Order: sequence, then C-alpha cells, then structure tokens
Amino acid sequence: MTANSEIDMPAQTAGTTHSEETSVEPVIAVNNLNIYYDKFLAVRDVTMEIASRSITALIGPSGCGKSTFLRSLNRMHEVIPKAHVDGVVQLNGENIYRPDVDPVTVRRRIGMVFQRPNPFPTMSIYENVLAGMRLNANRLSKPDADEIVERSLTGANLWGEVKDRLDNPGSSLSGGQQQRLCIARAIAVEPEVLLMDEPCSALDPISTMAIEALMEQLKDQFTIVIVTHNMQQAARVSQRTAFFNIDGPGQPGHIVEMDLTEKMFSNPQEKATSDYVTGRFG
Amino acid sequence: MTATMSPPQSQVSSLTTGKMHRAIPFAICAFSIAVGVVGVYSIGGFKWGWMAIVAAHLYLLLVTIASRVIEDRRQATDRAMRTVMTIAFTTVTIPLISVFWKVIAEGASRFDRKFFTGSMRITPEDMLAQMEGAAVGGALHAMAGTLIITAIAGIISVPLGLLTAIYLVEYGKGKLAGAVTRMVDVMTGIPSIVAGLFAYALFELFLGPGTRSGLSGGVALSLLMTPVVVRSSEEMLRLVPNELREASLALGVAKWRTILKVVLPTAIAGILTGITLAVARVIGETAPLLVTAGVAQDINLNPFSGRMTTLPVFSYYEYVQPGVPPETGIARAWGAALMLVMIVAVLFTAARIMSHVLKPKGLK
Amino acid sequence: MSELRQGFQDDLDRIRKQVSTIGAYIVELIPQVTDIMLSGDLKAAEVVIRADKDIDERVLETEELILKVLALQSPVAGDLREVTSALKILADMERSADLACNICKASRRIHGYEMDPKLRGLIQKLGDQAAKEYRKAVNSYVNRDAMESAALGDIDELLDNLQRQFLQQIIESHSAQTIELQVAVQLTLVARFYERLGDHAVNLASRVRFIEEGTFPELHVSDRELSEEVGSPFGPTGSD
Repeated sequence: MTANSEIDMPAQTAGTTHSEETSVEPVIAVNNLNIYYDKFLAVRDVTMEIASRSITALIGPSGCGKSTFLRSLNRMHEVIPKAHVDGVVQLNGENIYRPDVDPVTVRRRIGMVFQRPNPFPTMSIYENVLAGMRLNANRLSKPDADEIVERSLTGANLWGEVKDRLDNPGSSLSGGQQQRLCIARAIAVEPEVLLMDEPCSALDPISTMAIEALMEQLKDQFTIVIVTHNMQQAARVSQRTAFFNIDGPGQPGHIVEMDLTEKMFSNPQEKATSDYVTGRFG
Repeated sequence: MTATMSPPQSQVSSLTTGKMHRAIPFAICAFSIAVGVVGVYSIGGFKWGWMAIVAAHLYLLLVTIASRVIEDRRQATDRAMRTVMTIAFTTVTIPLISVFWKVIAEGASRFDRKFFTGSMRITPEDMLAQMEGAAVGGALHAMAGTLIITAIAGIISVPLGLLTAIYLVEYGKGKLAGAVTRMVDVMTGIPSIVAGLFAYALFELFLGPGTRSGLSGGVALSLLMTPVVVRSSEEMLRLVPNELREASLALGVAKWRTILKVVLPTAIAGILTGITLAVARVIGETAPLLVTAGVAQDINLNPFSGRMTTLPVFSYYEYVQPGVPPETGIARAWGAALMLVMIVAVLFTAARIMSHVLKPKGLK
Repeated sequence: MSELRQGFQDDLDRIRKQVSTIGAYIVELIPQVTDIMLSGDLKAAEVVIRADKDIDERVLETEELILKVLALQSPVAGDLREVTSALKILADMERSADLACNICKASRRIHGYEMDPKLRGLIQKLGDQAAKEYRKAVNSYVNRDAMESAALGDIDELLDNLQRQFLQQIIESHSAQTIELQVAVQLTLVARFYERLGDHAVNLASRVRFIEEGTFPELHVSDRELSEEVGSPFGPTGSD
C-alpha cells in the first residue's frame, strides 16, 4: 500500500468546499520531500498542503518524524550540521529550498514556538517582544516600538496581565505566561505562518486551554501548524490533521493519512490511523 | 516447659534506631584533645601539630565506634564521613588563614606613604638613613609594572581566547575544532618559564638579543592566560541552553548576531569570572618576567622599551638582595606581597560585582 | 499491542454483549407473543408483561455503562460510532420490547372473542415476518455484517404489504360481521405493532451499517410515518 496515494487530493478539495476556508490557495505546498540527517533518511516522501488561515495538526507516535518535518518547513532542521532535504517546499508558490534562498529570510516569514518556553533571560518582557526586530538591528522609534509591543502582547492574550510590568525580566512570568510571551515575540515580526512544536507539553491544563483559545483567535490572521502528542488537543483545535507513522526503529517516518480533523477522528480511512487514534498502538 | 519462652521486651520498630545523645560527641572530642595534648607533651613537648593530628584521629575512631554501638551502621558511616570532611576542611583552611595573617602582619610594617609613592631609585642619603633603621624605598614602579604587563596580557588573551571559545562552541564541528581543543589543552600545561623563554626568543628574533620590555612580559603572560580564558569561556558558552539559540534563529536572526546579542550576554557573568581567574593565574608569575621584563629600579611606564619590574619580581629581588640591613629588604618584600594580595582581592570583588550586575535575572 | 486500553476494550465488549443479549431476547419474544395472540393464553401474556420491567432495567444498565465509557475513555472513530450507535439501538430495542408487550395486552382485551381463520393466518404471517426481520437485524449486529443489514430495507416491504392486507381483511371481516368492533380495533393496533417492530429492525440494521462503514443511516421511520399520517387507519390507505 503506497501511503502516498492516500494523501487525498480529492479529500482535500472536498474539504475546501467547507465554509470555514477563507482562501482556496494553500499557503504551504510540500512535494516529495525527503529529509536527511547526513546519510540517514529521517522522513520519506511527503506530499501535502497546508491550507491558509487554519490550524493543521501533525500527530503520530514518538520518532515518526513529525517534529523533523515541522522544522523542515522553516529550515530550522538545518541548524543540525549535515542535515539536508531533497524535494520542494513552497511558501506561497516560492520554493524555500532553492539554492539561492537564505534560510534566515525564510524564518522571518515562518515563525516558530517551541515546546519549552524560552524567553531571553537577559531581556525584559518589553525587550523580548521586540527581540525579533532589535536583534536584527532594526531601528524603531519609541512610539512604534510601544505600539508593536502592545499589539503583539494583546494578540497573545497577555497584555492585560503584564502591561504594568513590562520592564520585569521575561523569566519572571509563570510557565503559561512565558509561552504566551514567546508567541507574542513570534507574531511581532508578522510572519505568515506560525509553527508550534508541542507548545503545551510543558504546561498545566489551564494554561494549555488558554493557549488553545489563543490559537483559535490567531488562526484568523496566521496559518498555524502544530505538532502535538495529545490527540484530544489535535481534535479540539485543528481543522485538518495529518497522521505520521514509522514502520520500525531505524526506518524513515512517513505520512499515512491527512484529512479534515472531524473525519480523521470519526471515520479514518487507513487502519493504521484508526489504530493510532483509538489508542490501540502508539 | 516451653523452650520458646522469651523474656518480654519492647517492640523494636524497624524504622527507628538508637539515638546518640548530643553531648557524647563533645565528650569524645574533649577526651581526644586531652589525650592528644598529654600524650604528645609527655613524649616531645608542645608540638601543636602532632597534638592536633593525634586528637583528630582518636576522635574519628571513637565517635565512629560509639555511633556503631549506639545507633546503627549507616549512622556510624555518616558520622565518620562528616568527621573526615570537617578535618579536611580545617586542614585546608588553617594554612590559608595563616598565610593571609602572615602577609597582612608582615606587610603592614611598610604600609606607609613612601612605599606607595616611591620607587627603588634611592639616594646615598637614603642608604644611610636605611642603615639607621628608617624605612626607605617604595614599590610604585613594581605596582605600575604589574598593572601594565597584566593589562597587556589581558588585551592579547581575552579577545583571542573568547573568539577561540566561540569558534569551538558555535562553529567548530570538524577535525580542526578537535585539533584546536587538543592544542589548548596542551597549552594549559606549559611551564611558565617556557612561556617566558619563548617570548624572549621571539623578541630577540625581531629586535636583537638582550631585549627586555614590558611588552615581552605581557606576551609571555598571555601564553599562559589564553588557554585558561578559552577553557572557561567554552564552559560558560556551553552552559547557555540551546533553546535560546533556537529561539533566536527561529525569529530570523543570523547566527553571528545570535551569538553576539543572545549567547554572549547570557554567558557574560561566567565569562568574566573565568577571565578574572585567568588574571589571577598570571599576576603572580615571576620566572617568565625575570627573563622578559627584567628588573628595574625606576618607574618605567613605557612597555615597548626598557626593563619593567612587577610586584612578584620585586618581592623576589628584595628577598634575594635585601641590602643593608637585611630587615629593610625583607620588609619591602612583604609589603609588595601584601600589595599583590590586595590587588587580586580588588579584582575579584570587582568581577563579582560586575557578574552580579550583568547576570540575567532569569538564570539560576 | 492488544494490552493497551484493555479495560476500555473489556467495557466495549460488555456493551456489545449486553446489546446482543437484549436483541436475542426480543427475537425470541416475537414468535412468543404471536402464539399468545393466537392461543389467547392469559397466563403467558401476564409473564411477558411483567418481564418487560427487566428489559427496561437492563437497557438502563447498559446505558449507564455507555455513559461511563464516554466520560472516561474519550472514544473516537470506530469506537465512538459503536458506542453512540449502541445508545440508539438500545432505544429501538426497548421500544420493540414495549411493542411486544402491547401485543400481549391487546390479546388480553380480545380474550374470548372469535377471530376468523383468514385473520388468524395473517397474524401468523405478520408475526413470522417481523420475527424474521428482527432476527436478521440482530444477527447483523452480532456478526458485524453490514451486508446482511443492507438487504433488510427491501424485506421490510413485505411486512408493510402484509399489514395492508391485514387491514383490508379486518375491514371485510367487520363488514361481514364475523368479528366484533372491539376485536377489529385491537387487531388494527396489533397490525401496527408488528409493522413498527419491522421498522425498528430496519433502524437497527442501519445503525450496524453506520458502525461498520461510517455513513449515516436514512431515518427510515420518519419517512414512513409521514406517508402514513396522510391516510386514516379505517379508510383506503395511500396509493399503494
């Protein structure tokens, strides 16, 4: 069974007739992407699309390559030496892996939030939000900077809680607040896509719900791709879900099925998907 | 009659053991000291050191046995280890305190204005006065020399060392990095006289034999200082959590900017401490400076030509050639030593303050 | 890796088993009440009527188990379909048991009255057909066989036809004065009961299709109810 034939273009176009889509053009299109760490093939032959202004969840057992795949979308996996890809990833039609493309510029348009909140310890809350611009030596006038900070913190549902203590160090906040600060920092540079690598794994349930509510709001402005271990979370927040699997240790990960979330969780087509979501393995 | 009858005894709980009364260790201590004092005195007189040794061993033995009997095996081992650690700590601290005490006590005799403002350029009148017992001569030239030469060493080693550390941690992943690390390791073990000779030979090559200068001394010291800076900076940079680098890169910030504006500021506290330690390592070096910077009697502020004395070299010479009467020379030597200790103390305090100020509040 | 979620799996198996048991009971019940109808055995009728309470209890028990599974285990996909369908199936079964009960009650009311052979024959046929359909439906559930259940919709046509025949016969018999009015009324109701049993069987089968295939069943009963409302039980019914 070639899993790839299950990446239903028909299912996707059927999906695009759903009313929640505001744009038919996919914002990210992946074609035959193979991801390597030096000689080792970590993820094989992925072809899929990420719909604009929606939340797409990537689920799968440990080691199936979903985090690796996520990182390849903004060329972050290249931070590890000798990591490379074979294939095409298009951001609004442009291939980000063309030889003359600078990964740094790609990452300005595709932002990322990580599993453990990582505000810069040497900077205050205010400075953290502006880090994306300040670190790149963008000159900002004080009123402009203030406006960006307020906008980003409001967008991250954090403004009310911190507006009186913007000069406190970023790490003086609670875990959930720190994660929202990281989200504010990421959206301050106004990326088109926001990648989230298990953003709630390190948080308590209430903070998790706060982040999920935030994601629901953010999706009106950004396209979000989230990797999560928590299937209920994928079911709650995403419009589309992709299931990655791995055949065995040392084997490459691959995509098994991708469809509307409600279909994936009520009537998945592939047995492997069904087994995974019902908890029969994984 | 039933042979299995046993006398009634209280239930022994498996969770508790006997408890040694608090006064017992003190009693044993007093006893051991008494035995130590009396025993050693009766053999060879008031030998404090031997008394202490005997008392310490006796205490260790007795308290361990007592604990084993009253309490249980684990507690006995615990007490024994604690005693050993206390003895070790004391053995280390006493000489340290003793040295400080001696330096301060002896050096204080030359804590006068002349010492801090004058050099060893002495007039014949001074020589006569000295024979009368007056305090003559100063160490200003040596202090200046120490500061200048150490500064030169710092100016060379800190940038070189820091950049090497950055290379090793952030960029170096291949064979070259491995080779560099190994060479730095070797350099940490260079005997200081070898460094001195190397610097001397280097300057001889370019400027002819017999060249002495502060610069040469600085170069020699930097050979000793750089590996320390590299090692400690490397450690500090590695301690910066990788997620900070990732966060910065994910914002679309180039790697060099990430290092400069995120990694370095986060590690700066530790790096400063490392640099201070490196300075402390070289500030007391004597042998390489004898060869490179030589000895001078005057104040020489030009590092590029002429001999320059540093405090440790000055101290050494005053000890070796104390002049007449010899006590004055010895006193000057102690004075220079005290000066050196004070400078190092100031340096360390300054480093701690800067560390505290620059330390990111978030880091533990 | 079947050790995963063993407790959950056991709960699912228990639900399945309980539903199957209730279904099997009803399958046995239908011929029973048909016999009661034809023989007029009051004692047997009494037993059936009283036993209905047990069925209700069992249904409630199984519903509680389903609620627990939903609350604690977050079933998705196939498991979710199975568990939510079980709720609907139980509702159908409970209603079916009530219908069987009602047939017994009707039998009590016409006790002692005469029924002519034509009517008796039709009752037997109705009973057999309803029993057959219900058996097919419950089998398809137990065997998880969607194919069997697909056929049921068509078979049910037979039952509808039988019911119409029966009504026709009742009217004729009453006009010919071979039966009393009370009997005619009760028999009409009984016809209805059998026909409804058939509908419940069809619903059950649709649910089985849903569990296995994930497609939504047509709401069979409401369609037919709509077409029935138009005609009156005593006059000519519809166009068929």
